[in-house]
Amino acid sequence: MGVLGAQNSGKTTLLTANYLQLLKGRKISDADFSGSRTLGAWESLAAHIRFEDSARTPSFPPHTPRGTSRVPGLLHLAMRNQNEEFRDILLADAPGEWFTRWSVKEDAPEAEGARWVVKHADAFIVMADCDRLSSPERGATRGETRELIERLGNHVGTRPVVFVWAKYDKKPPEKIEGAIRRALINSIPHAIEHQTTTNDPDTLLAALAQTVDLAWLPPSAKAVTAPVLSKQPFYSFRGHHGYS
Amino acid sequence: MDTPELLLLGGPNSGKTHYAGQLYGRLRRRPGVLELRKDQGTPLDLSALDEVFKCLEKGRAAGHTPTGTWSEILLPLVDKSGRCLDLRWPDYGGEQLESVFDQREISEKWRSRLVEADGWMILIRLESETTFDDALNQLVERPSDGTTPAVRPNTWDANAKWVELLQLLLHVSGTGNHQRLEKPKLAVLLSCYDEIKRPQDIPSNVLGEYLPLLSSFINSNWSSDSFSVWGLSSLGVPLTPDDSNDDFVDEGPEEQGWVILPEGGKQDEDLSKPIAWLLEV
Repeated sequence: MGVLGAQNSGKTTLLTANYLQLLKGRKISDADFSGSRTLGAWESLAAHIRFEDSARTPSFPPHTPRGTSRVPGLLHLAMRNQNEEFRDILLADAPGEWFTRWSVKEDAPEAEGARWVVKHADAFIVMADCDRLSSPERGATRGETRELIERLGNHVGTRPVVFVWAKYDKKPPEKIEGAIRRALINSIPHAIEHQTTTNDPDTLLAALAQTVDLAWLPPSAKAVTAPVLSKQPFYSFRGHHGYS
Repeated sequence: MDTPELLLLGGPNSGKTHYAGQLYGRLRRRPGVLELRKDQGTPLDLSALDEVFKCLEKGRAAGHTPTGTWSEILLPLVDKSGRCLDLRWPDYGGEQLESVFDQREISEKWRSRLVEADGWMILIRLESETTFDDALNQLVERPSDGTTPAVRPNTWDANAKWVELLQLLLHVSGTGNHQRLEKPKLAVLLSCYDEIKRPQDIPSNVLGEYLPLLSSFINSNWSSDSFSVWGLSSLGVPLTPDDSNDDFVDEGPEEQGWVILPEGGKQDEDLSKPIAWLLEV
């Protein structure tokens, strides 16, 4: 799953909050936690939000560094649902700058990681920062958010998208919200909207659960219509991945 | 003759040695579902338990098992139906398990035991496990001082630590979890159960309350008849190394201690029941 959004829009917080809820025994969708290959990463993110000692007060997790890597850090969860279906869920926690750059210039070298995420993800969570959308920078933020939506719209196809109004404890002005919603309807009409705030951790759980739900079953393959290219029947073989 | 292999997993101070000492007393002097075979007499080598016997007879807590220790006592057992079992009961310093987690490295000796074991027995002392509260729903209201958060000490929540440890052990033993696990059978013994605040709950609920993530992990990876959660109080009461407990002195340690069965209910004095369950006696 790709988590997309500008820097400081709350991508890491959304993911960490879900881990903290799992720690309390909560389910995601109707699936139980059944393992993680990245517990070390989860724990180091969660440590920021904990009461550990009086010298370090809890805070939001820090900015995900850009580093030199060309692919994002992946966080892993294994889940098993009531029907005994087992899934490995990989969550791409990429630095926000990648997506900001990608929105503006799709083939920018710095956007390689963003392209990787968009190419490989089976589902997307797109984050809009309501704190900034209700600040004096709201105009510029609206622009960036719409660019991201429109850019993703070119690539997403039928893959599920959950659009998250993050930090909804700060509600953006109606006109701003309306403009973004229009962009969303135009570019990604199948996107499902969620509002989240850390004041109510259940909202963060609901957003991820919805995404997991939508991606739980792979899309059904489209019927392959083999074009007649020549009289040799094997010439039209397209391999097993002909649909992509 | 069956020679079942059990693996006993417990960190430092989780009560492995006390359990071993009390278990032996039961098998020898107050047998329940399992007892020592009469024809074999006393096991040849009891030196691993010598120290704990001496302490318990005096009503005192035994000392810490030295870190590097690895010893085994061969227990020739017989069940109610006359089936004979030779059980090698391990005792070791709990730090060895900690170092598996810290170093992410398992010795060949441990690995072969992991692979061969028919059942794993985990001892968890819930009251000494460290879990953290989070402050997620207060972050927005907290004034930010604008500085980059300091690097945090790398202390894991006990939930994550146990899950990681089990994942490491499963990996090393070559066991995948895409299908629910039938083997190794897993008995989770919540040790020092006399410390638990709500002991009337069934043990699996108590585990779920103290360590919810670990509880989810076990529940969603083992098939329901391949794991069980027990309450265990080997001593029944806390002992200290320095003061004597008169009940232990006068009645003998074999009269002390109990387990709570997975389905709950009253204290059961047969400390061998979890082992009998693991060995399907």
